[in-house]
Amino acid sequence: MLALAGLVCGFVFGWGLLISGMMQPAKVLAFLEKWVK
Amino acid sequence: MTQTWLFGLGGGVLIGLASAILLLGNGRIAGISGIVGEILAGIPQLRGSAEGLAFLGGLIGLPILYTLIRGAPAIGVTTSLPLLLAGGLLVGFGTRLSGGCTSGHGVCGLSRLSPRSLVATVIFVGVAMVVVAIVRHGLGG
Repeated sequence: MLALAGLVCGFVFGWGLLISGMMQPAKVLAFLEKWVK
Repeated sequence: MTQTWLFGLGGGVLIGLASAILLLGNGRIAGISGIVGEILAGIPQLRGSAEGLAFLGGLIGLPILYTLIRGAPAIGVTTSLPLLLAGGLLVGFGTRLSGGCTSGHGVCGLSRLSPRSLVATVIFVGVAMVVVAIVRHGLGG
């Protein structure tokens, strides 16, 4: 049961990363660059 | 018009939801470096956390599933392999040193109002900003 909960949490966490664009290096770099330009 | 901030908001809600379920349901912090470290530490004794493995399986499995259904998203990695390896080693060293990573400190720690996580997050985001500025602008990048 705990493993199933872990799997679901991993899926939801990964889904969040995916739709927020945090799997795209360019987007992360653009965020880090934004404040020091 | 694509509302990109809505995707950011939705993604943040999902990440927070997953972290909250793992913490309230399983009593675990959704710190990815910690979970990976725990699994790697358990390999010699052939013991491991089933829920940790399942969490990583879901985390890695979702992008694979997405790619199979919708095709690979356009992600460009322009850095050379040696730099990627060096960066990965430094990130691994830093996360062990500070006792967490962006998910453990930045997501779970901050939401639990942990002062240690606040200090860690301010430092690693600040250093990342400075490094990006130096590499992209200071060194002619």
